[in-house]
Parts: sequence; structure tokens; C-alpha cells
Amino acid sequence: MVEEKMEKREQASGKFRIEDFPVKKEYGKITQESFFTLRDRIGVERARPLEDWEIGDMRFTRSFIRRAALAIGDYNPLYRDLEYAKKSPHSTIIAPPTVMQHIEQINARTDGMPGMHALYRGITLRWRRPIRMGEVVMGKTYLRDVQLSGSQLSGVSVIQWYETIGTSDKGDEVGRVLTSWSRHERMAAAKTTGARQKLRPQASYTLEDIERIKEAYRKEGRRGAEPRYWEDVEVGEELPPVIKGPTCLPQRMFGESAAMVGSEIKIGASGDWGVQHAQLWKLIEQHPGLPYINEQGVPEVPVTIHNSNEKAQRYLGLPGGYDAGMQRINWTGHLLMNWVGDHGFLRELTIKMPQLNIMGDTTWCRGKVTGKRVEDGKHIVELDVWNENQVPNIVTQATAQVVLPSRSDPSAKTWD
Amino acid sequence: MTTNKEVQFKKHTTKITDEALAELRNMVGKEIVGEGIAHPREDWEIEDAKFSVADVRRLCRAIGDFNPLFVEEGYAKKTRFGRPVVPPSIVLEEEQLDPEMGALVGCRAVLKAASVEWYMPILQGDALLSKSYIRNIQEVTASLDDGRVVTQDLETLVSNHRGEKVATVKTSWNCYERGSAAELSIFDGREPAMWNSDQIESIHQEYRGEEASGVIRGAEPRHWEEVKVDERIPYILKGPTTTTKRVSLIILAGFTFQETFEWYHGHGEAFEQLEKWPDLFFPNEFGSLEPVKGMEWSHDRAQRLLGVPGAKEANSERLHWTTQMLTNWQGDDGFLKRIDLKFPAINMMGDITRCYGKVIGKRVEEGKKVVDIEVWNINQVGETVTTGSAEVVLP
Repeated sequence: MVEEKMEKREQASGKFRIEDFPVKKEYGKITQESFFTLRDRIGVERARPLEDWEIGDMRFTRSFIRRAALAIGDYNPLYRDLEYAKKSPHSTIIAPPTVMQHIEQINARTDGMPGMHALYRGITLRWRRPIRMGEVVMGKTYLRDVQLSGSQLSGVSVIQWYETIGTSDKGDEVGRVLTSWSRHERMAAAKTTGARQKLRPQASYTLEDIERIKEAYRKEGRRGAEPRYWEDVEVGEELPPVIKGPTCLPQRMFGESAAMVGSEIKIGASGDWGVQHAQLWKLIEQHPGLPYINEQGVPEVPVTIHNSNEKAQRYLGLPGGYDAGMQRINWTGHLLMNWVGDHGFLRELTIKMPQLNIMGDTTWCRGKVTGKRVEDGKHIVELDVWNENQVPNIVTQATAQVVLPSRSDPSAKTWD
Repeated sequence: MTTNKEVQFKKHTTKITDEALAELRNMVGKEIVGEGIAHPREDWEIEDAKFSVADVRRLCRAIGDFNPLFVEEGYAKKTRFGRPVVPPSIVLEEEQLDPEMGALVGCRAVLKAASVEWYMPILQGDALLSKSYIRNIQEVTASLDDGRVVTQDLETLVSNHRGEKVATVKTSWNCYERGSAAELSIFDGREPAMWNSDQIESIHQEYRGEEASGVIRGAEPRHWEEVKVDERIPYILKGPTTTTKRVSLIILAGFTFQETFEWYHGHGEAFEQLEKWPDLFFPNEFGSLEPVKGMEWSHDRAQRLLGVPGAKEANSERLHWTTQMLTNWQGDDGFLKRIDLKFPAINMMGDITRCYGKVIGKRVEEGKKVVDIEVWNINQVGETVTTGSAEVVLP
């Protein structure tokens, strides 16, 4: 019943025209003025000139990489053990590849459509080579498109697409990051409370469930130093799963923040709002419509709605607090890096997040080989990758391309 | 896996056993040096632990202290330090043990008193190294029916990576069994504050005023001769505190204090920690594991899980705030030599805190021109939540 209604809404998505919305800018609403103001930024380079200390703070130090790996829950020795990493094809510690997602200079969390809630729809990461210890990777971000679309959550939403080009301090391109976001009117989103509660209750575990999860952690396998040759891979083959969670707020605080790189950028997304005391009141003066009034009557920035089950229920009609999507990208990277081994290379990952990851969920990261090909001398394997929660719902859908070593030339590099 | 059960909280309790107390007593006087990234040992770890300009800015943002001596590199370069200064209260975060870990893992530790003596400023580029000692353990249980209460007195010697003595930090903690009547008594009848829009508007007005956000003396020296006994130090206002403040503190300060490494692990490591520290976790509303610090993210959780009136803030923040008031006042050429605070009452999420100070004496000691200051904090209901004193050396 609920699904049917939502499908109907989805079908109606093509019918929205910006001309049918109010002209004058209004906080938290879709208006022609805010829509076109945002569209004017399409194609404009969005990179603030960085000061030396900011660039220094973006360096992938050994401590930073160790912390990021811990935050993801990925104990791959390539990230943590210098002696081990020296003997690998990388000759040094490398960073978990998915940390590249944080080089974005700006995205829909703070760009345009003021006062509208931002949800992460998906990301494509394309790497040319691994990120190595001691490097700095700097991003230049471009807004690529802005469109109206139907929405399950709020009826209609604004979709924003971004592209970021990442360049190392040695001057070469390391990779690109493409993201897309949906923006929602908060009140409209709250109206779907009942439907969403029915759709997705909170997780609940028995002691036996917890034992099973513990067992799944014990079974996690990593390919490591033994090369996985392209010739040995079969289409249809499944990847050994990686389990994550059950999540809780303390874990998420660490998981989402410690893997970020770059100071004002590291805190940029939530950090522009991460102020308190005198600075909070200055922020409220600049953006009077930004805060909501919390249960104690205090103005609070909306990013906190993520962080509390009660707040997510009350203000967004969601079953509980939810993740920002970043950690699922890192978890998927964990699955793929476990499988490709030290000689393989994660070349491309496209992730969509059709459902939210709700606080308390357990996530199984899974994958399957869908194709094999050789292109420009690279031995490529194509994969379908997905995250499944305990309901079970598919909360993340992804495709990936990895490059594996070939028996025909085992010593050839798998990256550019 | 079931997914349609009612959300249920189970009241969380912990015990302080005779064995745990004996273990703790056994540690008295021994040097304690923690493990992990928060406690740098190897050369590369010390290198990475050096305060960067960004670290200092993050830390200041977490405290809400925007003194240009700390946060503006260009400004700081022109001062006698030649580089950004680190807010001196950072040394409070250098303790090598957490009284809620170790032998009494899972208890609620409430900071009752904290004193710091500084020997030199901490600058950007310095790494801090420290050693902690448990100096005294004392059982102060009033009634076993209400639950055990144990006092832990800690001392931490802080030095920098060049081996110079930076500060001595002394803290005193009361440790309570979770869910006990003794734990409840720390709230002393307090309830979470409720604010109406008029009150919020008046706080907003107060922040707009000259003083509340902090009057920063900065480059203009405050000479000892100018200071008068009974002179009032410009006060500062903090709060009302929110979940956002708590999250910011953890995310922002976590990069510098790196306390995240003690508590916030998840996934497979949470299960490994569970085996090592069963009392570090409580069964949350999903029936899964969560570090006990997660019990106080909201009033609602604290009420349901602990049966207390709401979420309590960490008393230690008041030392950061009081320090901010003093460093604002003393100017770039002043030096905060000592601070000594007692925390007779808690503060809760949603409270505001006003930090006050008054000059009570002036003296010259070993050629240094010292000003003695009385400091105190008052919350929105007029309760004195902090008392104490400080010594500032002025030019």
C-alpha cells in the first residue's frame, strides 16, 4: 500500500516545473529565486585559495591514516603497518581509497536552497592511483546540474550534482569525485511520518542475534599479500561479505569524523554548523531561518537531527537517527580492498543510497563479479556491490571496477 | 532478526566491587602511561601529535574561544610567541587514565575539583607528553544501600617534546555505581532547563552586548600597576548547551584530544572491547552494544537508562571556559600561572553558565608580578556551580 503510493509519487516526478513554484526566495522552500541563484553557479570553480596551514592539515599522515582505518573498522595492514606495507607493491602505507570522498570543497549541505534538508543520493569515485602516506590531495569542485524531481520523502525535491577533481601536491590527478544530493522541505518531509514508520522499524536484537553478528566478524577474510589473479576470477563469483554495526551514536561520531581530511574542509560539512556559545548566536544572526527550536526551547542547528532517534522521529518522521552516507562508502571500500588484495587496485566505485541507514542497523556488505575485460592492458573485473541491513533491505547499491594482476604479466602495476 | 519489537530501554546498573577497589588501591603511586594514538611514544607519533595551526583552531572552536592569539596565525606571528599559542586548558585533556575506565570501568566519574599549575606556554608545533599517577583512593560511601562512592585523586605531569616541564594537573573524581541512589543525588533535584522564546531572546541580546562573548585584551599589555584589587574581570556567557555542542566537542576536539580512541570504536573492535571491558557497554534500545558515554546524548536516554533527571554536561568544560575568561583578560603578554577550581554542583544539557572573576590581591613573588583572582560560575537559576581561584602573571 505504502510502496504503491510512493511509486505513484515517483512517476509524477517528471511533472514538476520550476515555473509553478513561488518566485520570491523563502527560507526552507523551493522557490524560483533560490533555484535560479543556484543554477547560476553551474560550472563555476569552487575552490577557496588555501593557506599553508590548511594544506598541511590535509596531509595523509601516518596517524591520520591509522585513525581513518580505525574509524572505518578496517584493519588492513596496508593502512596500519609500515613494515608490512613496505614489502607490498605499494612500498609504503596507503590510505583507504574511499577517504578521497572528502576532497569535495562544497556540496548541497551548504550550497544553495537555504533551509532545505539535504540528503545524500549517491557518489562516483574514480581513482587513477592509490593515495600514499605523506601526500596532500586537493580538490576543485564544480556544480554540474540542478533539477527538480519527485520524492518519496517530501513529494518534490531539488537534485544537485557536483564534480571534484583531486590533484596531489606532486601535481598529478589522483582521482575524481562525483556526488548527487536531494533537497527537501522539512515540513513536507515530516508529513510522511506514518508511512515511513511502517516502512522501516528500528532494529532490535536478541542475544542470539548478537552472537551471530560476533561470529560474522570472526569470519571476515582478507586476501592480503597473496595476489588474486584476473584469470582465476569467475563471473558470478561472490565476494566474502564484510559486516558492519550494529551502529550507535558514539561509533558514528567517530566513524564519520575521523576519516575526513582537511581542516575547515574536514569540518566543513557539519563543521560550519558545529559552533556553539557566542559563535552560534552569530551564525543564527547570519541565517535566521537555520535553527529549529529543540525540546528545551533552545535554537539548535538541524544537523543534530541526524544524531538522535527522538529528534529524527519528531522532526523528519524517520524511524530513528540516520547516517550521512559517508561511512557506507568507506565500508564498501573495505569489502573491495579485502577482496582485491595488496596487488589489486580499486579503480571506480559508484554508490547509490536508495534507503537510509538507521541508527542501530547492522549492515552486510556484499558483492558479485558481473564481468571481466581487458582494456589498455589493464585486467579489469566488474562487480555489483550492495549493502543489506537486518530487515533485510538493500540500503546501498553499487557497481565497481577493479584492476587485478594478470598471470601473463604478474609484476605489472594495476594502477596508472 | 526481529525488527518490529517495541523500543525498550532497560535500566543500566554497574557495581563497584571489593576486588575492583583493591585493584585500584594497588595502582596508587604507580606511573601510568596510556597506549594508542592519544599517547604518543614513537618518533613518528610525536611528530604527528605536534599541535598544528588547524589543531589549535579546532580545539578553540570546541571551547568557543576565538582569541586571535590562538586562532589567527597572522596575528600570532606578530606577538612575542611568533606563532599561535595553544589554549592552556588543553593540559586537562592530557591525563593518561580515565577514571571511568580501568578498575572502575563503566562507573560514573564526576569531576569534583581540578587544579593546574603552568610553567610555560604551549605553542603551535609543540607535542605534549605526560605521565599520570593515582595519588589517593578513598571510599566515601554514605550508605551501602545507596551505592558505593569512591574518590580518585589523580596527578599528571605534562611536558613537551623537548622535555621541558609544561604543567602539573591535579584532579579529584567521585566515582558512582551507575543507576544507584548515590548517582541520582549528584543531580540534587535539578531538572533540565526549559526556555521560552522571550528568555532565548534575552540571551541573544546578552551575547550581542559587549561582554558576554568575551572582551579580548589582546596586544595591549595589561600592566600589573594598573590592576586594582576588587576589580571585576569581564564575564563570559556559555550555552545553552545542546546535543550539537556535545557532538561538535567530540568531533572537533577529538582530533586534538583524541579521546575518541578511548570510547568510540565500533564494528568488530566493539566486540573485541566487549570481551576486554564488559562494563564499558550497555545494552541499548536495540538490544545491541553501546559505550556507556552514549547514555547521555539526550535527556530522554539518561532518564530512561539511568533514572536520573537528564543528561549531565562534563564539569571539565568549565575549566576551559574559566581559562578563556582569564586569557581574554590578561592579554597576549600575561601568563596564566595557576587555576584551582571546585565544582560543587553539576551542569545539565540546556544550561547556561556565566563565568565571573574578581581581583582579590596583588603581590610580587620571585620578581614576578602576580595578580590573585577569585573565580566562580553561576547557572541560569543563580546557583554557584564552580568556585575557585587563579594566579595571573602580568607585565
